[in-house]
Amino acid sequence: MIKKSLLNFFFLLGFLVFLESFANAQTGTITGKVTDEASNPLSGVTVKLVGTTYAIATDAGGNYKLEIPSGNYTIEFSYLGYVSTKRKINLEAGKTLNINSSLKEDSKTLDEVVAVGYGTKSKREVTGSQISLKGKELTDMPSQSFENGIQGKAAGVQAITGSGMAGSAALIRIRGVASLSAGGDPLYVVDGIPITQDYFMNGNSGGFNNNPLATINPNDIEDIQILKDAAATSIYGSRGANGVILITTKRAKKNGLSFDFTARTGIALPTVKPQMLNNKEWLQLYQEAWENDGNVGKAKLPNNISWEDAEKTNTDWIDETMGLGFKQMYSLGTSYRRKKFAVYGTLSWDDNGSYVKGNKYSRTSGRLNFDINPIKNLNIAISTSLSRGTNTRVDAAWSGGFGAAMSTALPIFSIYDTAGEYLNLGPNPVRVRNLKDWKTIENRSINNITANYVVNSKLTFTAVGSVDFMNFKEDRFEAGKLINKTTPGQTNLYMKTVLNSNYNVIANYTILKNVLHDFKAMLGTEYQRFENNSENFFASNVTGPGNEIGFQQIMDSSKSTTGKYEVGETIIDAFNSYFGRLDYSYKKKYYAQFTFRSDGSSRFGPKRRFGYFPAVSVGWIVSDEEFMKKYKFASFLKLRSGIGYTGNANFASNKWYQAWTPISTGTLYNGAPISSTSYHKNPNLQWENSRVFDISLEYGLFKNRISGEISFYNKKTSDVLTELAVPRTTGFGTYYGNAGAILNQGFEFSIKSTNYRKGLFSWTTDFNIARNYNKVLNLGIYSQEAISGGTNDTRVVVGAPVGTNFLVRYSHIDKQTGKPVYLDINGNETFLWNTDNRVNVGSVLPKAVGGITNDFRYGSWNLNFLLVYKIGGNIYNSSQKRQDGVMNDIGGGYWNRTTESFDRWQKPGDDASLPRMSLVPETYGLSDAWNNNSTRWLYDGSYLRLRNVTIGYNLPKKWFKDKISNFRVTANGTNLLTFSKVKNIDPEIARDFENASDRNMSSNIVWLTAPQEKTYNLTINITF
Amino acid sequence: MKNKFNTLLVCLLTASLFSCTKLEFTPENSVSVDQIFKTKEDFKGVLNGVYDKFANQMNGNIPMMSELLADNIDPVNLSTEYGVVYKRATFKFRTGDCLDLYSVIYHTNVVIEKLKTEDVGFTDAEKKELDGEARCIRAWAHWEMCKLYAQPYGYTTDNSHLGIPLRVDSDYKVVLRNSVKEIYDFVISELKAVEPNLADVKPYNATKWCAKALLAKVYFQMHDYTNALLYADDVIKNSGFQLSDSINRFAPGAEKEIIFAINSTLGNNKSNSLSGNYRSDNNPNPSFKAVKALALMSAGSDSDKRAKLYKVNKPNTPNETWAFTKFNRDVFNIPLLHMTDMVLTRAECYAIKGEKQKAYDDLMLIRKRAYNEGNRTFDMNISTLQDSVQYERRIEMAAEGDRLHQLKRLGSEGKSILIRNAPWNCPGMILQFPNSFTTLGFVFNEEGGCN
Repeated sequence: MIKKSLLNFFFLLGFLVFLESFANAQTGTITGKVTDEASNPLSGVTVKLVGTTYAIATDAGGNYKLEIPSGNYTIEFSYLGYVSTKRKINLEAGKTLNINSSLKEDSKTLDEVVAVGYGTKSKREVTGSQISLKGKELTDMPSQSFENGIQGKAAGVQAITGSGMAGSAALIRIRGVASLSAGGDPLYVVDGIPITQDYFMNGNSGGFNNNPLATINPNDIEDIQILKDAAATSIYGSRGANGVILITTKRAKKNGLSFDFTARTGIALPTVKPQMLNNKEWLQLYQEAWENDGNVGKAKLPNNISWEDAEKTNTDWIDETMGLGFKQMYSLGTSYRRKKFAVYGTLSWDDNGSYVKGNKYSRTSGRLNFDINPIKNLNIAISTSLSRGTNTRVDAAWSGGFGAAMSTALPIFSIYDTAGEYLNLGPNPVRVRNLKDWKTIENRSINNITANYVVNSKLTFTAVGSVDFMNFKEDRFEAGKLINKTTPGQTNLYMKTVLNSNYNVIANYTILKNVLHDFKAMLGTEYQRFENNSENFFASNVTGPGNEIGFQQIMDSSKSTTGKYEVGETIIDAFNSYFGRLDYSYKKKYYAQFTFRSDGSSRFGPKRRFGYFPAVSVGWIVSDEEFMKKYKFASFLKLRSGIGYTGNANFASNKWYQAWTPISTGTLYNGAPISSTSYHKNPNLQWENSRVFDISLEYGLFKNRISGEISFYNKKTSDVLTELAVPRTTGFGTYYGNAGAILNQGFEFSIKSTNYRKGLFSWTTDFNIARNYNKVLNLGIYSQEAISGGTNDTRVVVGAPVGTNFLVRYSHIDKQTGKPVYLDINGNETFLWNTDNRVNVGSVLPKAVGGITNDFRYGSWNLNFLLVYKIGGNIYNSSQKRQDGVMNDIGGGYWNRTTESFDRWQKPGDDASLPRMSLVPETYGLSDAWNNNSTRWLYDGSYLRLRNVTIGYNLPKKWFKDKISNFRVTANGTNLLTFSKVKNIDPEIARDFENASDRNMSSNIVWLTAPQEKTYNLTINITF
Repeated sequence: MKNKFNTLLVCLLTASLFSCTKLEFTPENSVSVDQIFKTKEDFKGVLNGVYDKFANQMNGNIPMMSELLADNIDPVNLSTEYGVVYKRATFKFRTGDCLDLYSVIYHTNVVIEKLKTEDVGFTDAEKKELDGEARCIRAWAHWEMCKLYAQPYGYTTDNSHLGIPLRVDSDYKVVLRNSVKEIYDFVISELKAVEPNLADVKPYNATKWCAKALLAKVYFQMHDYTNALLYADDVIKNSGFQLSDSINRFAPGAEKEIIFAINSTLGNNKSNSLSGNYRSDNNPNPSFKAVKALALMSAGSDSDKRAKLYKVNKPNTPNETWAFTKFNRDVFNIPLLHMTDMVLTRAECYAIKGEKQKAYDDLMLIRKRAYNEGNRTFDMNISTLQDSVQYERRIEMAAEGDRLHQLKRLGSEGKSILIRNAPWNCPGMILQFPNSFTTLGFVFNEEGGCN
């Protein structure tokens, strides 16, 4: 299919070039000179005729000359750092037109207005650390969810794409990890509204976390602002500490009616294909293990199958679960603007098949954004979106499917038995996939209305009301054959709704404004309320899932005697906030900002109900100083710095509250009511508190041909919210408390350079790198055992980074016995693996991350490469402890192994990388086959990846007789090449997580995680 | 007009600042600890919650861990978690998870404390009875955990070896391990103190006879056979409970001998845990199966009625297994204290004390029930009598978590006891505490050493 598409594409290109050659007739000449405002000649200015392929660059004297067919044209002069100019001309045959141009320096970039918390500012005024990314930068590289597009493009932002499973959630961390049990993700704000962003809507069902951002159509995004320091985020108070991502959706800008249509098709493959043993190899090693353990004769095989059957059955479960994914996307946008009314709308359908068989994510979305100006001084903006994301699910990771193909599905078992029925002797992922119809369906509508009333020249009021509604259904049907029942099947329907409503009122007042001073104040209040409801339906005798036979039937059936119906508790939490900002500037050269927010939340204990978050920051346009005039190379220099407090309240409700079941609830024991509690109270529970200092230099050199930013930050987070494991003697297992402190400190460097620009050709490079130093400063009275990173043995150790690998050290294979040798706590060799010998052996957090983008343009062509990299940070291949560990155990189950297993110890004297084969954990010094975490499975996680290659071509407008203003064809590939030290797995890892702690502490941990996808795509974009 | 509009707008916006500010949202269907102890019914509800939670532990993990460490269970189909316990190889990540009894203790402590501070109109006697029940269950819970997480009484001569942390208040403060002596002293003194305040009859609740039966068992474990005999004899003679004719106390018909049981109903079925692991009528391959040697102790004899308590699967093949049948039921009560135990306890005490005839008579009560008239004869020497009582005890109380502690009792009084070829006092024979106990001064158990 892809081959055919590419052939069609090149045929189209050839045909268009052929047509163009017939366009010449009679010609004329245009000449001229281009200078700056001081009449200095400018060389390298692009002179082009809009809508044609005719273009040239000025020479060293600023001169140009174009010989072109006669006709009416629009000539455009453009040069980096200057404002482009256009002019209509009429060129007659045989005539010469002299067109000179004087270009003004472009201050537009600095005057560009960007979103900040509860308002907008020009970039010049901004005193906080924030990065702007255009929507186009996010959609240039096709991805399932917009946040994946951030990777490599924003200094200080680590974006780890979720696995190759369709609809998976990316892991975004801004300036390191400062949270443990509270969510470490940034706050996402869409058109001013903090949206619902629960990654654990259905827990870790099926080895997969929900992505709450997946229903947002990337094509709707005008731009995003990534707010990083306290000056930028403290206006979000108790929710800004992990950064804020402001998403602004598109609105109608140009007068009149226009349309934008995008179509894309592509394929997906895994970046890595795991190499597992075939039947003969597995049997050979199993028999060897059997004999090594002192047994004689033929080994007893799983489920008592015969050796004869096992030897003639060879199922490649990887091939059975992995294939080629197909993708397609269509999006139609329209924009209409008149004097007092504007509307922007989109309709989009995105069908994203993954390489995992049976798995895809489809999103249908629509948006309407209105801008109305009903009376003078009053503007009303209405934004509404409706989307449906349908994830066609298969089991993943620990739950089966592709995960089973890498582990418990053995090659000696076939898919079908001799009668043609699915074999049910061991894990059979094909059987499960085909007999289970499983979807998660998320309906989402984000709406808001904003009224902006200008009272007078000094005072403006803005009132915003919004509703973010999410309805989430997990709809899982299991056929009778799968669950060994004679009924058609059973369905579990889990439904959750989140109603997130918000209103805020803001007053903006200009205190003083003249040539020298500009002093403004903003004051606002906000109330946000989240209401969560859930219902569980179980119908034991139905013919299909809810999305096929109708949800109502499932719901009705669940309430009958053969079903089960449960209504979850309604959970409500709310924030009540007051905030303000003072902005002062002097001579448009010195800027100061003070922000303040008070946040009250039902999530906080009654003794800590309100938090207060001030921040102060300053900016200085150094390049505007007289003493800088002599440094001509310095086009723009801005020094800014800020310090402030911000918090994190991204944790579940009622964690402070000790809820007792009242005796009226109906649960009886011995015929009488009961009351008890499972909660450890903590009335002092509060937000995490971060003190953030930032100092940055924004620079533009050589007429902004080189520009970028250098930043240093120091963020100390205290009162870290932690689910602490407490001794059971208290009566409880864990409780939520504020314990300990974490330091994140680092620098960021970004540079954008126009390396070469001549004529139609240009080459620009963007490079960014961020180095973050993370350290746990203290844990209060608690030990590293009090906080666990899920099942991966990442820990929080004082003096070490968050997500420290806390493992027993593996030393070598003993040549005489073939047993693994570990090191005890004192470094002495031992054959016994013991939890007391765990030590800090590094962290999953990287030392540095960044990206390099190279963009080459020639006329209407462009070629773009994005390389992303990660330096340092361990990968822990947790599932390898079974893949290359004990082949079976009491209750441990049988596992297939990787082909790496062949380099194993076989006889005394062998120098092998793997120990002797065994079916007994004790051979490896273990109590059971699972608890085998050691440095044997720890790897350097550094990698360099060719993340994206895009080649695009803008077809000349004249071919479409001005009816189409832009026709662009793009071909691209993602994740084409990866350089890393790990085998059999992809080095970019965001596994399925159990909870927020796991998400904070266990990136880079592998548990049968599906590798990333490699895609090839072809896109057409038409604007008319 | 415009000024009016502006004034109205400012008023509306100002009003909005103070409108929706509600921040109090507590979970539905819940009350706080300050609201729960306002009536007599509240206290009774919380105390009933104590029994409910106690049942959730005593119906599963507690007896099953004891069985796994002993010699009754065939490990062929155990899960990893159970397998580690069976291998006597628990460590900080796999601990048997029997410490949820501290949740029971927390609730008992809250009841005991609130009875002192909240006046809801109880009479003094009522107060004492509720307090007594809470303290009885608190003492019992401590004793059960001490048997699993600490070496037995008698492991050291002065019993100064480490026991478990003693919790006598609902504070969250971290406490360290007390000695085994301190735990046993606490249990004995509490049971003795509350016994006079408890009711004679109160089904499924802690009664006077429950406390006395417990005292008999605790003293028995301490090798204090005089006091064990005293209390067992008192219960047998004065409680009103009688040895039943039933060979299976988990089936209907044995009610008259049950001193304390966990109550199971359809709506709150506490028997799921046992039946889920042992039940063999709907599962040919349950997790917990009997070793053949145990099954044959009764199933090997045609005339032993208790042979019905076992079922063989794939007999005379390499895959032959023996399943228990005593839990083959959907809903059943779980007896924790019963007359069979008391009779066997008294029998052994008599035997140890040299009162051979009395020991013989008690033993024959059990034998006759199993075989009709005495099927077997015995030498009347002390050693044989004690062994015979132990023999019957193993059969009668198989899968109830008793066997391990009998072997440890015998081992700690000087007998040479091996449990599956490992000494009764090897380190792995007790469970390890979980990682979360890591605090300054907390001493974990030694691991392994049994295989």
